[in-house]
Amino acid sequence: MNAIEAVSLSKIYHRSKTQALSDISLSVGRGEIFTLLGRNGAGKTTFLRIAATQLMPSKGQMSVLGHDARDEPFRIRSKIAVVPQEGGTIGPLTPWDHVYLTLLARGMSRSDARERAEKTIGQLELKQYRNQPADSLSGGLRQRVRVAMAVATDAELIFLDEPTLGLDAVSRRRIWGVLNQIQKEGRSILLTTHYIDEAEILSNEVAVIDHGRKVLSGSPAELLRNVKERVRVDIVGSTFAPEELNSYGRVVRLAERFRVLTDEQRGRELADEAMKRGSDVSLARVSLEDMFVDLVGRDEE
Amino acid sequence: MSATRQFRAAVIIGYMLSITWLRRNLMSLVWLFATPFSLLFIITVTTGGRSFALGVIGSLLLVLSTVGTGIAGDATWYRLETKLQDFFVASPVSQIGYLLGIAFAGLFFASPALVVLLPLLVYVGFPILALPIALLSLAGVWLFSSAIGYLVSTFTSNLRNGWQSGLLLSVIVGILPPVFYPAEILPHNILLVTYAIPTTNAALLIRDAMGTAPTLPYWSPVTGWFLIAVSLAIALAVTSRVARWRQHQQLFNEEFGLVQTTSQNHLKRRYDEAASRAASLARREYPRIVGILVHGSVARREPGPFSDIDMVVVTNHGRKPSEFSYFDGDIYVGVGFLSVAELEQEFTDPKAFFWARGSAKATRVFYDPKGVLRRIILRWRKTEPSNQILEKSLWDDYHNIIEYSGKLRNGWLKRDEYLTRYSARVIAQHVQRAIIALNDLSIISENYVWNQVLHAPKRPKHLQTDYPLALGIRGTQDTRMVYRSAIRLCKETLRFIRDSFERRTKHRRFLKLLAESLEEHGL
Repeated sequence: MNAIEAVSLSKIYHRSKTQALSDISLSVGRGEIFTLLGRNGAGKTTFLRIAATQLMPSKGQMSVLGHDARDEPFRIRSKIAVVPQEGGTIGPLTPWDHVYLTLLARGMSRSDARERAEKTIGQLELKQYRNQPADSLSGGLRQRVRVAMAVATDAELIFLDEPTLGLDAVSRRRIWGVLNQIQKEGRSILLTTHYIDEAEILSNEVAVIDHGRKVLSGSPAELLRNVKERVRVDIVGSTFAPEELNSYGRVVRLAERFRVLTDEQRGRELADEAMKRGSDVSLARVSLEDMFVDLVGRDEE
Repeated sequence: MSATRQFRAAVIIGYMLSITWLRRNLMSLVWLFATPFSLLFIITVTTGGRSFALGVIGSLLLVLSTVGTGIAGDATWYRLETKLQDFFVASPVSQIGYLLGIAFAGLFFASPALVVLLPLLVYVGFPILALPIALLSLAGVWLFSSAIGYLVSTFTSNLRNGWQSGLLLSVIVGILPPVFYPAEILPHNILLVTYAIPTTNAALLIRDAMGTAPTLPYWSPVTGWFLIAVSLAIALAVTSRVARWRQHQQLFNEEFGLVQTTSQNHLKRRYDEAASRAASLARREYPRIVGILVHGSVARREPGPFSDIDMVVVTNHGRKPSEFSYFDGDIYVGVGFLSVAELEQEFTDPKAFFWARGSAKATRVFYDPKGVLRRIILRWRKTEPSNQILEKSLWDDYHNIIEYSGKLRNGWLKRDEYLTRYSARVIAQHVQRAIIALNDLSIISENYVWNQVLHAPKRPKHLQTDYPLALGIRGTQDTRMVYRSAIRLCKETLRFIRDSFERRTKHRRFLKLLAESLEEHGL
């Protein structure tokens, strides 16, 4: 049994004229980290909220941990936990209050709650802030507290909606570490993000969502195969004429940078040439980012 | 979670959002003390102390209604800013548990004020022994205000509106009704309106216990309690029905041509209505029918969004009309006709027996004026297959499995994927029928037949692996796997039929076939 099984799922919000989700089918295996990748407003949160039984679908089937999300939310809710997007902490309550009391409210015994809260606070390196009012903590620490509230539960499936939005590199890595830990415990994770590196590093499976549709899905390695070119050459302060660059491969304009996607041979030639002309140049393998820009960035070019 | 666990969750949520909060930040008490005590002060001073008692009653009720109506703002904050509501929706805590939790938080916040005001109430003449009466009516006011505060919060789309509606509600519930001033000075009509608000009744009940209640039209302590109970029941009922916990999907959107698939209940209702319409159509067109019944998912009350309606009209007189079908909106309706004799006949047909008996368990009668169909169906449900039906059925399967094992092996030899897979499927279908007969299963629906077969108690050893592969319901690119499963399925099933049925067969030729050595024929 999969953790999540969605079949032809669609969602239309009352007032808007567009479909937030349209005919999405995907399955999340047990013990997997599954990432929904997409731009802001692509429909990731809508999908996550339907799976987390917070929102009703308009059409299609959604089964979570073997139960129908539409008709049996009560069976699902004891086995899931969620970190909602861009939430906050509660005024003067400390990280300990947040984690320990919500565990108790979910029905855990005092001793279990104490043990799990202690462990999770340690994992997310919140120990030294344990008894400080959340109001006085930085945004990154507060976000870690929110992640801890879900992670500390014994849920089989954890939903994280943009858990690292606006965090610095260190905080992000702390959260990644804990997510990997959860996976090792055999629990499943559904994650949404618009950070490509996050999707690439963390996930077993990625689904790219754009305008409410699933554009592509697969493991990060499989997704990479969708990019025809093997390497990318970034040139800053180009002395090349546009036609000249075009002759080397596909050109993408990124602010004052030019990115040329091409094969290894021509990539090396272009890098040499650029160096001769004194431009700032770098040569690298294509990444998921190129795939992503390729897929969903076209209408913005 | 059980009711006691929800209650425990509510107390913890209440503790978390009030006492933990207060322990870290005492300032939050100020707002609660400010208004009621200011009003008490003004009333006492302006009346030269004569209305002090009324002021105390009013303050008590205002405190408790304010912590309730204040939820309009608090719960909006928890929902929109901290996303605490979303956190609890996706958890074992139910909506009532959460509502009660937030209400408890209010009550805990109010407790310091109560500690001051309740002794004052006794001081101004409230009999200590009657305190439970005061507490009960105060509890009614607290719960009523909490329910409407929460209800409003779930529809509030920004925080500022939340706080403001909380204030407005607090004025309506706690200040405007006659709690700080005597009810008897109100004009008759307005007084009647204020009876609808529990604070009015609570104030009158407290005054009644102190012996200072006036004689008012249509009011007595009994009506007071009754009105509090009714308004509380209405508030709770409306809140649990209307307040948004999980956000519901929106209605039909024609632009996208989407079907209005909402909850299962809604689907059931739509299909039931379409079936009723079809039944009345059939009765209008053919007035002399015996009865009407419906098979399939609609009868089992589990239609999917794309189900159809299988209706059977049973006739007895004259020529049987030909079957017809049509679309009712987006629901496809098929209407067939059977005579009573044909209906009965299904039970003598070995191919139809187990299906007919299963469908009798999930058939709904839509029209049956003389009870004919009900009698038939009742008899069907209890019927057991005759030995003759079993024998015919198993013999047919035994024979076909042998026949198609030949086609299967030919197909595999010639590397003909179509023939191999096709034969495997036919074999699996006959195995399925044999298992049904041997286990005496009633097939409720073709949607589940595979499931019933897989879990039948009497079955060949490797059925669970082989049957799905041979039937093709478990897909594989590898035809060899299909072949291997199908051939093993043949061998095991043939032996299984032979071993279980050999002694019961009466027909000489079937007995002879069963006696043939399977090994000699490569099986």
